Amino acid sequence: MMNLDSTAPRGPQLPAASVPSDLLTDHNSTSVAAYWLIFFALMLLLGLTVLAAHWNLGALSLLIALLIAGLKAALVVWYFMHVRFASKLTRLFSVAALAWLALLMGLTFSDYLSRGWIVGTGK
Amino acid sequence: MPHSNHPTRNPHLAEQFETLAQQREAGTLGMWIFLATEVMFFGGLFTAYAVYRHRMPQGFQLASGEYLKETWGSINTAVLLGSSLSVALAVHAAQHGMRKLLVWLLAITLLLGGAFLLIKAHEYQLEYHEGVIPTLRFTYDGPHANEVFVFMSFYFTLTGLHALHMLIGLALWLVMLIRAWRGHFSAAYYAPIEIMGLYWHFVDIIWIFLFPLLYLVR
Repeated sequence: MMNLDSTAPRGPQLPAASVPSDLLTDHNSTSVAAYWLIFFALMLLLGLTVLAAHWNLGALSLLIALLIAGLKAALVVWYFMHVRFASKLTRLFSVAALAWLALLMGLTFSDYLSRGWIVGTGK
Repeated sequence: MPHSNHPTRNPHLAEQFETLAQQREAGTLGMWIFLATEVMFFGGLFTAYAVYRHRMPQGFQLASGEYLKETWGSINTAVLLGSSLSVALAVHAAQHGMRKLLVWLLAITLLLGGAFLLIKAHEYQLEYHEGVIPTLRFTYDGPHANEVFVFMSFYFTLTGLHALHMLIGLALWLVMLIRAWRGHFSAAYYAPIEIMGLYWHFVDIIWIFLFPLLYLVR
């Protein structure tokens, strides 16, 4: 139940259980060292995606490029955009867009990829 | 509303909120809703790109390999990731009330964002001389000319709209820099920096997908 009249602090003051406590965390916020670590991981993945593009992997190369891009985006969303400290409502909205995008792309490709499956129809 | 006319009410707290934390949460959620509409905005273009890449694989591969500058694209990706780091550190500095550091980090962000746009402009200039800008100057008539035209149209639409987002972001960062310089932010009130950061990281994510989809077509 949403209670907008509540005077209780919201946002950063989440219950302790939902705040991850690991090396990357420092007093309920990400530490400076962690931001640098994520940055170096992103640069490493950038190098990997350029390398992989030169490996002549054929049809696999698109899949690998998208997987790496997805991983980079996830790191940015989770650490840089602070979704790991965000409220459940904000987390819901941050993934809702992906659900609509999946509908858009899924339905579009269920058309384009299936054309010609039934002889004498489509292109 | 028990506190709304209280004389010690925080000047940064808008009338419709009870606490700064509630105000910050509402602002954060609002930005995520806006970003969801942005995902749909770019998502339509990405879907169209996918359909045409599926139909015109040879032309897309040829145009990407011949006319897109992979080295500049890679450097620009690194520049943009660097600006995301400086933004993340700026938010951290704001959270801890470090005004001077915040101003420096925002200045670095502006420099990196500006460098990205300059490199992009340089690429556009090279592509103009090569005659591969649809409608403006398109002189390519080799194999798969039609498909090359379609690929370059996607390239300029997607990177152009991304650059527009960068330009808007840089203008807003300049406003934030001036506000930070004047000491508008503190450890208790830094939500505008954090929410602008969300927008900037999102624009970075769009580029994370654009780079392999445009520059590394195999």
